[in-house]
This record gives sequence, C-alpha cells and structure tokens, in this order.
Amino acid sequence: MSNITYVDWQLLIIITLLVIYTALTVVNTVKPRSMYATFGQFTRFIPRYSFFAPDAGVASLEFAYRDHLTDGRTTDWRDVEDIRFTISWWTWVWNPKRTRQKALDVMGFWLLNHLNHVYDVGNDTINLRTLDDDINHHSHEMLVRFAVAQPHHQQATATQFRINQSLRSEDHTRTMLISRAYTLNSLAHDN
Amino acid sequence: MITETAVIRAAEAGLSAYCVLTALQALVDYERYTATGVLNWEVARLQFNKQWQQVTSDILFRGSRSRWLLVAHLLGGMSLGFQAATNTSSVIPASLVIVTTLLMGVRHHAGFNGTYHLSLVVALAVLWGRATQNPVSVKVAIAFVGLQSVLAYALSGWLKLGNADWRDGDVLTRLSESEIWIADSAATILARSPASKTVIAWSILTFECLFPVVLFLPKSAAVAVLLSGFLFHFINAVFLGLNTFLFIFVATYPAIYYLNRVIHTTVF
Repeated sequence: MSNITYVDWQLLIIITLLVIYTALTVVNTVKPRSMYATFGQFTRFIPRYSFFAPDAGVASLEFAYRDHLTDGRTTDWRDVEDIRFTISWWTWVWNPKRTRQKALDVMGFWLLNHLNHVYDVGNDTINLRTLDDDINHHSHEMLVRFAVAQPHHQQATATQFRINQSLRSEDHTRTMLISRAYTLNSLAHDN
Repeated sequence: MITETAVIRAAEAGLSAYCVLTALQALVDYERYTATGVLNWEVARLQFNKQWQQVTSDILFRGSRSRWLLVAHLLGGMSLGFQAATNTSSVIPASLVIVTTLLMGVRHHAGFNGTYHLSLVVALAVLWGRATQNPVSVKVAIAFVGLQSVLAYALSGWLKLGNADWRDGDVLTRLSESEIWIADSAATILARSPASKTVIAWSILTFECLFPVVLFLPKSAAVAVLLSGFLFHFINAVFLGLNTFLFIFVATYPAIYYLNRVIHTTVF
C-alpha cells in the first residue's frame, strides 16, 4: 500500500514567503545599501532593525533660513523648529513632535553625509556657494523646497538656509552648512 | 500554556494601540504635512525619481488625501482593538491596517523608525491568524511575529557590538549631547557619572545580543526577560520620547512567550 501524504500547498507557500521575508530582513539590516541598490524604493517595506546601530546617527541639527531682500539686505536667521525634547508626564505615551523632529534632523544628516562623502570637507563649515557643481542629492532639493515653502519677508527675492549643530556641552551652536540663495519664484540658485 | 487565540488577540490589542497612537499623533500634529511642514507633499514627493512613481503618489497623497489616509489608519486601529476585545474573526481590520501602513510608508520620506516595520510584521501575522482555519497556520503566524521580534533585538545588538563607540560607551556621550533625542534630566544623570555610560551601554548590548536566549529559558526566567524588555522600552519612552516602541514591541511578547512554551514542551 502506498502512503499518500497530503501537502498543504498554501501553508508551504506562505512559510516560504515568510522565510524569504525574514532573510531579506537580515540582509536589509546588515547591508542596507546593497538592498537599496537591488530593490530601490521597495526596501522601505522590508524591516531594518538597526536601532541606534551600528552608530547612533544622532546629529541634533537645527534648521534656519533667512531672506534676501530687494534692497540687498538680508533678514535675521529664523529657526524653523524647536528641536528640544522636553519631558512631560505624558511624553512617555504621547509625543507627536518626535516624527517631525526626526524628519528634519534626518534630511539635514543626509545632506551633510552626502557632501562629506563627495567633498571630504572634514569639520569645516560647508558653504554651498563655494561649490561649482550642482548638488545631485534628493536631500538638497528637499531642504531647498522646504526653505522656499516657509513664510518669507514681503520684499524677499531669495532665501537661504543654514544647518547648525546644537550640543549641550557647548555654549554656542556650530554652523555645519550654509546654502546658496534660492530665488523664490523658481528653485534656481543665484548664489 | 498560553493559547494561540490569546496570542493573536494580544497582538491585535498592541497593534491597535500602536496604530491609534500613531494616527492620532499625526492628525493632531497635521501641520507637519501642510505647505510649511517638514513632511509637506512637495518635499516628500522628491523621494521618487521615476515619473510613474510621482504621478501615482500624487494621486494618492496630494492635498487632503494624506489626512484621509491617517483617518483610515485610525479606524483600522480602532477596529482591531474592537476585534481583540470581542474575539470576532474578520480580516477587514488587519487588511485595512496593512494597506494604510504600506501607504504611510510611501507617504513619509523621513521621520519613521523601526516600529513601522514591526507593526507591518504584526499586522501580516494577525491577518493570517484570523484568515486561516488551519491551526498549524496560526502557529506559524505566531512564530513569524515572535522570531521577527527576537531578530529585531539580536540584529540591533550585534550591530552595536561591532562598533567600538558602543563598547566604550561613547555613543551614550553623543546621545546625551543631543537635544533632540534625550531629555535634559537624562543627560544630567549621564553627565554626573561617566562610568555609568559604559555600564548602561553594556547592559543594552548584553540584553539585545542575548535576547534570543529567551526562547529557551525556563518559564519564570523567560517572563523576567520579557519584563526587563518592558522596562527597557518604558525607560526609552520616558527619557528619549520613544513612545511607540513600548506598544509595538510589547505586543510581540505573548508570541515570544508562546514560542518559549512550545520549545519547552517539544524539546525539553
């Protein structure tokens, strides 16, 4: 007599998919760049469990902008966000600001990381006006658009942004980057 | 022995709390998605460099559609909570949560953390756990959640262990300098005792790297490890404001406990 073994094909397929998904999770956590090179935007749906790892990746960046006016003057630098995390009795369960703080910090970090990689500027302030090339990184265009979208002086013709690093141990903030000036009607820069 | 139904319901309840919290936080802080906000759509759409991606995502997210997405996510979370409470079996709540979670992943070019991915994992497992009639399938769904959660700790821990700044405690020095990430009170505590940074760093490394052992420990020890995990996430929620971790990771603990019991009855 032969034994007929019933195979639950649906279960087998799902187990296979879950095993593949878990394997991709490991690769995406350990080698995220290789995964992005292979899967592009779809990697955002694959888990990446790198919580403050391997490096904490904390930059504590402040974003500010100022306007260039028709008479040649510039306005004062204006901070966009209050980046400080302050404890209240509810913030362990209710902390809506965390996402926006992190988003702005991350965009600044992406840009600084890209520029340091391309230009090797070390610890000096990066002044984009001294660079001849176009900045071909999405983080630059994102921050330009973000700066342009802010409220501006009535006589503003262009805007410029700055990224500072704010550390507790230092009395003053450290300027990491100053951008070019971007005309408000188009996104072209006129330096 | 904890039942499969109890594990699925616990996962639903934790996922429900996570989804309701994230949706409400986003709706209350909706300014971040408006014209001057850091997540405004004209900025976020720059993450797509292919025209079909930009056209598709414009259809999905431009204007007030982002708000409706958040409302749908909130409703999905609430319906999951109702399902957990009443133990009704429907695939609609988990399906809604999965769709809205995927769309939110597309909508946000920055600002999310790893809890997003774990919530997707739990949602997938809950969907399958409720959709299937096969008891083996339910066990596999629970195993998927438990193993992904264990992997989350272990991968993160071993990546940290490979970094000398973590082994020296210097990462905590940098963290304490950051006004975004850590509250003044925690920074003060760390600054008072430099040696504490090394102790804390190694506590985190040990906990995360050895976390997979929880699957093989005796029952009381396994429970102690999971309670330590709860405390770990609670401390992070208080001093770093990482509130969402507390809900989604704890939602996976019944699955981990279930795996522990299965391993013990099968192997030991």
